[in-house]
Amino acid sequence: MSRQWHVPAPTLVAYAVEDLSDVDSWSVEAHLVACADCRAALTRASAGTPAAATVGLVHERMALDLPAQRAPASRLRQFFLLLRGAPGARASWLLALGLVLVAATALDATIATAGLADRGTWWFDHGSYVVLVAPLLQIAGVALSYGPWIDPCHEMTGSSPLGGLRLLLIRTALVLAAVVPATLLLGMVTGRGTPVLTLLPGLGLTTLTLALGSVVQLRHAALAVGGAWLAVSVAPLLVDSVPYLLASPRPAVWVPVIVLSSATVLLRRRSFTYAPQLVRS
Amino acid sequence: MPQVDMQGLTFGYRGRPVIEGLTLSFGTGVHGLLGPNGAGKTTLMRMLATVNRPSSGTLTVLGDPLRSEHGLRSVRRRLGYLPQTFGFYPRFTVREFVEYFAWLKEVPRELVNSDVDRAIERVGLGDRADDRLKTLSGGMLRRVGIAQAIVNDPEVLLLDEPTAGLDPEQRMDFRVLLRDLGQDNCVIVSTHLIEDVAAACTAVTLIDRGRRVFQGTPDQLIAAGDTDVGGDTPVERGYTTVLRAYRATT
Repeated sequence: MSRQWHVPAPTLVAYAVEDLSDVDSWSVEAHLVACADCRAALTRASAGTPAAATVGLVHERMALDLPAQRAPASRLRQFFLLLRGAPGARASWLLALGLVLVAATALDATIATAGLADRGTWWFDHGSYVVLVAPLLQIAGVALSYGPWIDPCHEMTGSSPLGGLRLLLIRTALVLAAVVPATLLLGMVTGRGTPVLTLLPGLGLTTLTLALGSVVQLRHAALAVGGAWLAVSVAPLLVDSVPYLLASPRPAVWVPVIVLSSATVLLRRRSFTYAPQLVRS
Repeated sequence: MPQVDMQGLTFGYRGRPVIEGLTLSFGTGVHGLLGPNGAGKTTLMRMLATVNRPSSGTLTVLGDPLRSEHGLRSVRRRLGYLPQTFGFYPRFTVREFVEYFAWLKEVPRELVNSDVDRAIERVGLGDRADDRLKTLSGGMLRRVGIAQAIVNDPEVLLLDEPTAGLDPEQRMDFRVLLRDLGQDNCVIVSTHLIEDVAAACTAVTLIDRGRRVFQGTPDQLIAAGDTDVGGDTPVERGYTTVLRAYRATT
């Protein structure tokens, strides 16, 4: 360890032969604890004095007892550990996410070569599987990121100070960080689905899931919200009419949903503090 | 002021009470929590660990009645908990796993590495610190669980069946660790291994069907034992006598 300042040699000698005032000795000791160079210098300075044996003993003890000094933990490592601890971040979920997105993109890219019967319908001209499934992936990720049914360590994570809404929000942010850029990128590649068209429903349904998750179990909330999204989006297609939520971004719908859901989550944050009651094991 | 104080604590699953009006307190020392299967030991531990909220009654931990979010969070920073069903992430190494919980428990960043090393050292896993959890035996995993529970130097430490899966030698080491931790902290150990309690605990609490049956020292429990009841050891006889006497009156 390099330090700018070292104990001057005469002071070290005075310290070694106990010829230093108490206050000065404490300062020297405080520095010695942190400075290997000065400890080495002290060994040399004390050679041949009555203090030599004591200094030698102290060195021996330090070598035996003190573990190797480790640098403070880094924030990057903290981030990766918290990320890896999120059940949703498991390889299987990421793989499923990738597969679904690739499949949706492939369908979007080949939509033009679909059956001739589809030609002229709204879905043929404007539809996008990526826009349809991206919000579902987000709420699935949220449902799979927190709770006793998915996290094997939930009793321990849930009773930690970071547990509850804070950890849920951290993990939700990680899910969004994985899904959002991927869907935006794929939307641009296929040219179907503007960024706003993907972003607004995704954010709206995610906050809605969290809000509903403060009342019922998060996984049930995700199923309900996802089912509702599919029903509202797909049902009009079946009867050959234009799906209201897929056709354009509809901020008049999503902004109130996002604001009200976020407010609900904040007001009901205590409902995430304790573990939901499952059937007794 | 005891570290843990319960007044008329009640908890039920779907209307069926599991803990009924429990009034108990635990101070500094190692407390053994005994009781037959289904007595409500694990439910009680989960409430003390702030995993579950009591249905009624008051629970005060480290002087805080756990009513405000802020109070609960600061209490959680000073708690350690090893659940009975100890789940783990198989791909984490021992060090990563313990460090993960140091972060979740908001251990200050500059202390994380040294606290993690010390916790792993204390459970005797220093030489396995970089091994993945999936390569460890059941007894070792249990010790990893204990390490994550003590990583934040908790003032209240809750261990639910901590000696399950430990071999006799490890159980002896564990008792030494328990006595050490119980010097300054409140350690509550739920167990069905009555011998562990006799060897390592300063106080014993016996519960049955969600109610308190006995609270005292291990010696008092031993003294309560009739010689004509079953049981191989004095503590077992004390346990059986007290439990039977209680059941006869209810």
